[in-house]
Amino acid sequence: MRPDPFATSAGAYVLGALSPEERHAFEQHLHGCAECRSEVHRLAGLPGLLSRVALRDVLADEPPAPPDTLLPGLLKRVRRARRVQRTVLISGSLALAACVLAVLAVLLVVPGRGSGGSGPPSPTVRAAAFAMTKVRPGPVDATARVSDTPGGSQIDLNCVYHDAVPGGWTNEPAYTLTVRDRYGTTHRVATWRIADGETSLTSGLTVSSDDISMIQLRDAHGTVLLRLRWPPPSPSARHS
Amino acid sequence: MDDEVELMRALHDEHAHALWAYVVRLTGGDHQLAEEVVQESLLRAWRNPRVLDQSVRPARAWLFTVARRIVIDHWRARSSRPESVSAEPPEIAVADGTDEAVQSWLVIEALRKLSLEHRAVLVECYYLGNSVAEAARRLQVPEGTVKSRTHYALRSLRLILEEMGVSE
Repeated sequence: MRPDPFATSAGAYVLGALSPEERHAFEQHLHGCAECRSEVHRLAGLPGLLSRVALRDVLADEPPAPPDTLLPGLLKRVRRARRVQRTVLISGSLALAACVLAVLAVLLVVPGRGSGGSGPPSPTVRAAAFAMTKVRPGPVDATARVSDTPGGSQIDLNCVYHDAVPGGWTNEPAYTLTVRDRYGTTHRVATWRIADGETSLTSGLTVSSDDISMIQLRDAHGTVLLRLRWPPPSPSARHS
Repeated sequence: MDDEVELMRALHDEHAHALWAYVVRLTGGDHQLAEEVVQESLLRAWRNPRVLDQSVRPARAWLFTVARRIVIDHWRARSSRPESVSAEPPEIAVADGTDEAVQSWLVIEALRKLSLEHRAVLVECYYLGNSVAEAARRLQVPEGTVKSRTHYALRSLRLILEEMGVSE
C-alpha cells in the first residue's frame, strides 16, 4: 500500500499551522480517508486545552523542589494522627511482658468464660456476627462483627479455644488479627495471648468497613488459621 | 514494615514535587503557607486511601483540587479579617470535581512532560501562531519534521492528559 502523504498532517491541521494550500489539499484528502478523519477527531479537543495555558507558563523553568522539611513534617503528622485515631490497636512488642498485661486489660472486654470444651462459640457478639472460616486445622474458632465508627470501623471478635491451657494465660506467643483492605494492604489490628476458653476483644481501626476485603486470624508464625471475606458472601454465613 | 508510613512516603514521592509547584504558585510564592497546604493535602489523601484508586479518578487531579480549596479557604478566612480586606483570591469559583483552574495546571504539567522538541513545535505552531514553514525556518528542521513532531506531540499530550483525568 502506498504510504499516506498526509499521515502526520492532522496535528498541524488542528493547530491551524498549515498553509492555505496545504490546508485545502488536506481537507480534500479527508473526504476519502477515514484514518485521517478519525485522527483529526482525536486531536481536535487539544487546542482548546492548550488555550487555557499562557505561553509564559509553558516556557517557565521547571518548578523548584519542595523543601527538605516537607517529608519529615508529614511523617510526624502521620504518626501523631495514628496515635490519636487508634485507641485499641496494639502493635507493641511482646517482649515487654508488662506492656502485654496492660494490653490484655484493654482487649479483654469480656473475660474468658467458656468451659474450654468444643462446640460453637457462645453468642457474646450479638448482632450481625459472622463465623470465620477455617483455613487450616487449629484449636480456635471465632466470630467477627464489623461496625462503622466515625474514624473508620470497629471489629468485635469472639474466639473459642478448644485446647486452652487450664488456668489462664499460656506462655505461647499471641494470635494476631489482621485486616486486608481492598487496596491490598494488610493492617495488624490486634495481638493477644490466648485466654482460658474464650476471648472477646474490640478493636478500632482507621480502615472503613467499605474498604475491608478480608479479616484474618493468624497464629504466632503469621499463618492464617481463620478468615472472613468482607463483606460476607451470603446471609447464610451469618452466625446467630 | 510500617504500611501507613510507607503509604505516606509513597504519596510524597509521587506527588509532592508537582503539588509543591502548583501550590507555591497559588500562594503567590508564600513558601510557609505552601508547605502547610501541601502537607494537609497529602494527609487528606492518606486518610482516604480510596482517593488513590486511580481507576476511579486520577489522584493528581484530586490532590490539586483539594490543595486549591485549602488555599481558597485560607484566603477567605484572611479576607474576613479587617486588616487584609484588600486581599482577594485570584479566582474564587470552585466547582465540584476538577475545576478549570486545576485543569489548566494539569495541562502545564502535561506540557512539561513532553520532550523539548515536541514542546518547541507546539510553542511555534500554536502559541506563537507560526505556520509549519515558519516554524521549520526558526527551528532549522525540514517542514516534514515540524509536521510529524506536531502530530506526535499532540498525540502524546493527549495520552498524558488522559492519564491525568483531564477531558476536553
